[in-house]
Amino acid sequence: MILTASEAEPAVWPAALAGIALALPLLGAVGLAARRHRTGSGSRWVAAALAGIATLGLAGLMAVPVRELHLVAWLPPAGPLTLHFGGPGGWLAVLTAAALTGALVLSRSESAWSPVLVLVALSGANAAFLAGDFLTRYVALEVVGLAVGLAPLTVGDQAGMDRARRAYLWLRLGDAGLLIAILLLFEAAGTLAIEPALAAGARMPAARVAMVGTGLLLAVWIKVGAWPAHRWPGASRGTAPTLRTWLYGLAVPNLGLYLLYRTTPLVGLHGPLATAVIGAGTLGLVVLFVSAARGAPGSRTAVTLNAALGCAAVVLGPAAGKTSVIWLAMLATPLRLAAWAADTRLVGAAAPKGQAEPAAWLGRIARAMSAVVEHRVLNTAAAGLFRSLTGAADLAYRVVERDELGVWQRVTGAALRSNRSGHGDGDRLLESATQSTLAISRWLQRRHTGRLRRNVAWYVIGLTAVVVWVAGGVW
Amino acid sequence: MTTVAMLAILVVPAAMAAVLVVFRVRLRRAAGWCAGAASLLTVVASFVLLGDLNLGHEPVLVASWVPSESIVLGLHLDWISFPFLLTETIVTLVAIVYAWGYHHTDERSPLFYALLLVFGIGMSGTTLADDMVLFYTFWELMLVASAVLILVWGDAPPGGPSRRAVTLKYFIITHLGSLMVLIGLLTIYNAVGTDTFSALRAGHGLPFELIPMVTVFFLIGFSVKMAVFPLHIWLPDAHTVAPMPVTIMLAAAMLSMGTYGILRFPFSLFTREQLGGFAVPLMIVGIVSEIYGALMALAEEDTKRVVAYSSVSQMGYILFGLGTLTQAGIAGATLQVIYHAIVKALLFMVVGLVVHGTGRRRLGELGGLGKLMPVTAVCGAIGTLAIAGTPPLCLFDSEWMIFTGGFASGHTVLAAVAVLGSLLTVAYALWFYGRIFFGQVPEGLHAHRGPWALLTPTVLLATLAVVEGIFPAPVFVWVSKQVALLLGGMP
Amino acid sequence: MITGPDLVIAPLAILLGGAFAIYLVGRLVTARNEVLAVLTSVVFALALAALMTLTRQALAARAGGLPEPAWTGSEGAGAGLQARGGGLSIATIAVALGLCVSIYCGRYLALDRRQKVTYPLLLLLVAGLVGMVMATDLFSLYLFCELMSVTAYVLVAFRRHTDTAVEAGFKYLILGSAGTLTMLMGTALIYRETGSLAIEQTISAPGPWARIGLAALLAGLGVKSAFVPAHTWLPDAYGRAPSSVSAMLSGIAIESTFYAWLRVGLGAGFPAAQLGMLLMVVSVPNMVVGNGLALVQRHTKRMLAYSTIAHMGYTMFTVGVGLRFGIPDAVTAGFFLIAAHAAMKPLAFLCKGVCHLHYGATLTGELRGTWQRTPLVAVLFTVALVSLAGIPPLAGFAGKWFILGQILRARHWMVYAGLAILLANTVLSLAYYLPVVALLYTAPPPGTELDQRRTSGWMAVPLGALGIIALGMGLWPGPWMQWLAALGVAGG
Repeated sequence: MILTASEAEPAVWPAALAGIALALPLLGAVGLAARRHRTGSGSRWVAAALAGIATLGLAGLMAVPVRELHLVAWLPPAGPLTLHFGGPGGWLAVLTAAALTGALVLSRSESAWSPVLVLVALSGANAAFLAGDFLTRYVALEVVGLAVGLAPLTVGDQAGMDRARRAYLWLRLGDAGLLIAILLLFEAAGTLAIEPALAAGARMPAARVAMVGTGLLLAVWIKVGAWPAHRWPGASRGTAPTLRTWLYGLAVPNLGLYLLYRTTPLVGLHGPLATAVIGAGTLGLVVLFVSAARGAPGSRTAVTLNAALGCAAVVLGPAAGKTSVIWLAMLATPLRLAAWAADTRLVGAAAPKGQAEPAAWLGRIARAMSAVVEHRVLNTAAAGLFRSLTGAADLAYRVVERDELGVWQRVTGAALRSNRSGHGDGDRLLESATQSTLAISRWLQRRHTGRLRRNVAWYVIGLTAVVVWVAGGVW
Repeated sequence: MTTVAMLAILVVPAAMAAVLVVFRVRLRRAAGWCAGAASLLTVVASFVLLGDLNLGHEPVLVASWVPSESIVLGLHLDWISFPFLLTETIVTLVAIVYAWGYHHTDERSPLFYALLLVFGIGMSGTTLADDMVLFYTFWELMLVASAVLILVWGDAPPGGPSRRAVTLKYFIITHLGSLMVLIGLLTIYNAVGTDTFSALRAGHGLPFELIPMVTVFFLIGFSVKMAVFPLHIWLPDAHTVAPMPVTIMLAAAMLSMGTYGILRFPFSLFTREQLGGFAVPLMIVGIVSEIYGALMALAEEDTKRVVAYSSVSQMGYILFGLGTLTQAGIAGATLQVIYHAIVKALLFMVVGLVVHGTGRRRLGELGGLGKLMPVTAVCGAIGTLAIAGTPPLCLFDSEWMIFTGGFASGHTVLAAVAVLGSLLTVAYALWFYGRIFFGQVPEGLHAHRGPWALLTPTVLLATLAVVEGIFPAPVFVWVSKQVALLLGGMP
Repeated sequence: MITGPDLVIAPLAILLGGAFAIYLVGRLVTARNEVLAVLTSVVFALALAALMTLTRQALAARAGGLPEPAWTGSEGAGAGLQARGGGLSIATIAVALGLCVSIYCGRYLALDRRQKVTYPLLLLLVAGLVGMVMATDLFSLYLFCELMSVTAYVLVAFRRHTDTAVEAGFKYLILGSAGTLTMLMGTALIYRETGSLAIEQTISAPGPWARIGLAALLAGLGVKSAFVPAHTWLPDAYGRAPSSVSAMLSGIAIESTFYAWLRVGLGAGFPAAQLGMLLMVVSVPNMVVGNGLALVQRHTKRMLAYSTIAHMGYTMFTVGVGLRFGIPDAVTAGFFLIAAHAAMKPLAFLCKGVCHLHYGATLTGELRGTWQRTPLVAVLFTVALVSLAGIPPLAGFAGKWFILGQILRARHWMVYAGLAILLANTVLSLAYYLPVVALLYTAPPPGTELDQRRTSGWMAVPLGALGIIALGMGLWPGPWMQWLAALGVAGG
């Protein structure tokens, strides 16, 4: 490992703290995985302890004077991996890790694998928050995505596999957009370090900036779970509480928000892209509010809240600047935790005082609002508007998520048919070529063999041809 | 010493094959061990040659054959051919070890192992050859050996084409590709007057207007071997019907010979300006192949066919990388060849373990094997995640380089389409894995553990995939040394 | 050591004298097959030795810039023989092939049992061939060609108790005679115009009779060389003859008449470019018809006969390109293919003969189980077929390599078109060679006896020799090409 500090100071402390924050949870995860049959509920406490130590390490990193740390050059052409300390990212990392500690401490029931997965995801999340270059961030986000994808598998049934696949594919879609953006910036800047890359990105021609912005937005949108990409957190149904609460409900959205924060200048505070984003986010907010007001069942509440916060973020980012995004992330953290906790009944029946059911008060506000507009004409119009908007949301959900129109089936079916027919075509082509060759052969066979008179006739024809050629003045 | 090593790579397996054929009655049981020993020696020799290459020498061996036509036979190793040589010797060794567990020993076993060795010699010889005659001879030897293996020891699934039909189709289509390559070679030979590649490296006097024609011949001929769309039609049947060790060698090593050919001929003879017109077509064909292969993999029901189509898709990535004509893209494509060999062999071995353990090969009849075959499941998970391009496994590194090259080539839309197309790879990989290892166990499905001879190479390759992903630097260094020799020197 | 002009006639004399001697021995002394086979082989060996010596002298003469050794008969008639390069190569091949076949017949004639006439006929056949390629005047050419042809007719119809063989011989007789009669007419017409019978007479201002005469000569020799569409006698003749005879004929007979065709055309002063163009055009139907019809054959020998027509087509194309575009090495490559074909095709026929002798295999389907019963024959048969298909590192591939290498030097669209047809045909030929190879190793239908027959030494030795030559020409083609080039085959 090549460690250098950007200032001429011993880099031991930052390296050690970074190791505690990044490597310790990972090692702990490996250890817990190896001994998962032995420890039982003790693994929860071990994981909580490790998460607590990582929180302290992250807090310590906020205090070191060193701002940057260069690690090994993993992919030689991409340059060294770097970590960047300080700034809002660090605070968000501390907050997220602390939330995990709390969730692990307070949780009552954990499965065998969930401490392992959350520790892996913690390691990845810390790396993503602290990343100084895009490669580190991308790999870290992929690691978190892998944990997200593996979580539903801990439930152990076939439906879990489907949910896992769906969630993982959504996250990979977002990461594909992120990858496109990263590579475009890399090509423009020649380096993967975040600050110079973003600066070079700002200088690119408008079409390229639009591509980069679209890719980044895709990643952000899916991670924060804004409408219409808001259903994937539902894949955590039935998983252990910390997975559902922290991993799905907090870590990934916070990562998305942080990504939005860092890259907001590129997404733009003005311009057609920003306008479209604000518009879409606002529409999402309205739709979600309406569907919540219809009295959606409790288990969807957390998802809806998540989606609403996500829409709010994508509206605030271009509209109000990046600082607002960070404040939103910080403030929303306890809100999310509470919502998801209520969802999974993390806290027992004896809930401490002051911890009200978020689903209940959201519903109350919605009902109050609808009581305000409880005028006959307005009511009818509002009811119609509700129906159309929720119908649109439901339709989008059914088509995209559950494939009720059979779009995906048709694509694969078409692919299968074209495969069969393509193969059939290729084989038929070969077959027909072979058959026609054989047919010509047999025709020649019938015409040229057997009959002596016919053979002599061919001989005479050949002879005449030669005579004409040779005697006809060629020579 | 190094010339001995080069000759050993070709001669030792040939001698062992001859011994196996002549003493086939006596060596019935020990045939596998003998073949494995010979193959191990070739791997050792490859590493010896690596040492020499690191010192800066390029081993060479030359013999005159037809002096009147100035046809010379030669062997030569440089940084372009070394990654392919190493990949191919290791894959041969791994396949032979796998065959110990997969192949039932009967009186034809010595011939089977002898043919595997001959197949390996064909591939090694192609990479080591320094002149056209040897190159073409070994190229055809690969084809003949693999065709015989498929014809005699293949197992055709019921309802599909017979072994004879598959072998004939494979032979004829691949032979057509070889003829295209031959025409390209002979055109160059006519222009230069000598047939050694060393002379070509010194400078070829090919007239300017012939360069596109020769390049087209080479590209088509090698694309047939690489099995990119639409010249891939021989691959699914051939890979499905061939016995598993042969499939491993076909998919992991022989497909890469096409890439080697493209690097050796058009790319090291002509400059980037001369090849510039081919960039976009190559990239488009690569993308189409990538997407088509992934869609087909998603739609297939036979496990071996799924993995076979995924080879078509991965070759699409490689061709895309080559088509970018940039340093990153070509280095990434070569890396992808090496890593794809590891991962594809791993996936086929996992499929082989599943088929061997359960006796079933259709996806609809499998399920829930995660609990019944844990080691296989873990290895399969590593293989699946690797082929989906998940960091920190090896294929992520090479795909990163390929996509970097794609954006660096200036064709950003094509590169973006390629990146988005990789999602289909994720989809079919997860679909495939989930249907085999998750869910309910179908009735009547009994799984027994595979023998150590099948498990050991699988675990080894899985470990290698992880290790290579985390420490890609050494292989990177090897690959980057070749780019100076390509496309007239890269900037 | 006989030198000079006498040596030129030595091979022919040995063969002719040997024919009569062996007939007498067979009649008077002993009719044992093995004895006659040995004696015939000795005669062939002596002739081969004489040819080798003659070749050395010819090479020395060429190196020294002198004309090759020649022998002239009585003054004034102009008849004679000359040891020209191309002719020597073909004669050597023919005699060597005769040696192999005569040893082979030591066992194979167990089927036919008329050894008293077979061996003399064989010697006469080769004698006629040698004389034809070494002749210097048109009449000698005609005479020796007729000798070769008549003995061929008889040998083809050898199994006279079968209708098909007699019909094949009859067809061969009719068409072959038509060909030779046309030759005779052509000779007469040329003699009428120029007053000289020499082959090497450049007719500077040809009148109408000379034109028609040359046309007739070329047509007649073309029939005997199986130029499509006058090839129809060949599949029947070579398909129905005993394997030893087919081996001899398809190995070198039509190639020798093709050589005579070239000699006559070029010798009479016909422009090489036009002759080459004619060859290029006429070769295409040969290739297409030969390969196309071979595809549907179930009778092994007919399939091999059609493939002979196809190989003739390849040779014609190469020589045509060489003549048309002035590439002498292409002509040499064509002769290399003739030599390679002369090793591969007889090997295939002789292997088939062994199968026929041991278990009566005639159709390709009946070749099943060869590996199980006579493994040596299966391997050698595979070598022959694989070599004919042009797969390295055997002789057929070396021939293909040289041909492709040389004709690509001519950058003309006709060459490329012909090249495409040639390559397409090569691939097409795989479709009938490879299934036969696969059949050799397939298990025979249940119920057939699987006793391993030991291939008799009489047959194994020539088969092995031909196999080694096929392999050797593939692995070390250099010496052969050098030999052919030094002999100056390109010059005719």
